[in-house]
Amino acid sequence: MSQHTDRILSVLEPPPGGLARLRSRRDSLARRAPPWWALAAGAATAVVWMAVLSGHTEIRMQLTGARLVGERSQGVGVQMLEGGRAVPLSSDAANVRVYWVERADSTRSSGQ
Amino acid sequence: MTRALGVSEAEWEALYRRLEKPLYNLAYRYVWNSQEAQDVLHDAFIELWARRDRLIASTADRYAWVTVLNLSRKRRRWSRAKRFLYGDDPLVSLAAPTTLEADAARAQEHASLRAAMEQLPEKLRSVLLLAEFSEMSYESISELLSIPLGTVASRRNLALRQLRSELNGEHSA
Repeated sequence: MSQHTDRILSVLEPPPGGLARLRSRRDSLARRAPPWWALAAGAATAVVWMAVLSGHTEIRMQLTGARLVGERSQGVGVQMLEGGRAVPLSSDAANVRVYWVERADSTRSSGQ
Repeated sequence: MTRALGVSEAEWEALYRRLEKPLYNLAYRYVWNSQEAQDVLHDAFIELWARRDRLIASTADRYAWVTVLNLSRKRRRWSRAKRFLYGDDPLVSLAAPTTLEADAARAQEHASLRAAMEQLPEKLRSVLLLAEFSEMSYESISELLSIPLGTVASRRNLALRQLRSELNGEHSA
């Protein structure tokens, strides 16, 4: 330490056993912390699960509607698919068919 | 063989053994509590341990000083609130007094020095403590604190003058 002053600040001794306590604290922290890959896997699983839950119904409804329109355009009669249903709506054009596609358990009234 | 990057456990422990006393002395003059000063020191070395793969052994000293300085500053703010609520712990690191009078005199000296240190602005305190305890050159201190070299010497001298004035019972101008 500095030796070129008349010391105002005396040199204090730290409490004994510091290194042992430090090692113990370091080791206890290491035991408690989960490995990084476990944290990453948990986060990824949560993200995927939330995406599945929120997007499942929408994806199925979109697929159902697309299929109905695609089949109808090819002259195929519309059929209910995968738990959904197509409710025919009125159309001003003779060569245009309009369908309301919804889930089979939906309580919403058609044509609204 | 010396690795370019990374600090081994043995190097980390050797660093602690070498720097424990000077770092403790710096931390103590911020928090004025022996246990808290050691906590600051250990917090810093836990950080060093967490970053050991990214450290370079030749600059680990400087990293330790910067970390302890920053943690001490933060802890000081918290310690001031605790002291207001719970009072102070007595200094435990002095040698056992031989008489009650010596104990009281030492306690008074400690209290006076502490009061004087508390009057120092942070920019003077940090330079003074690094100059007194770190064995770093003024060049190293100037790099560590990002201040000009001449400023290190002037702040240290000013800090010592203010401390002496406070301890002699005069208020600095």
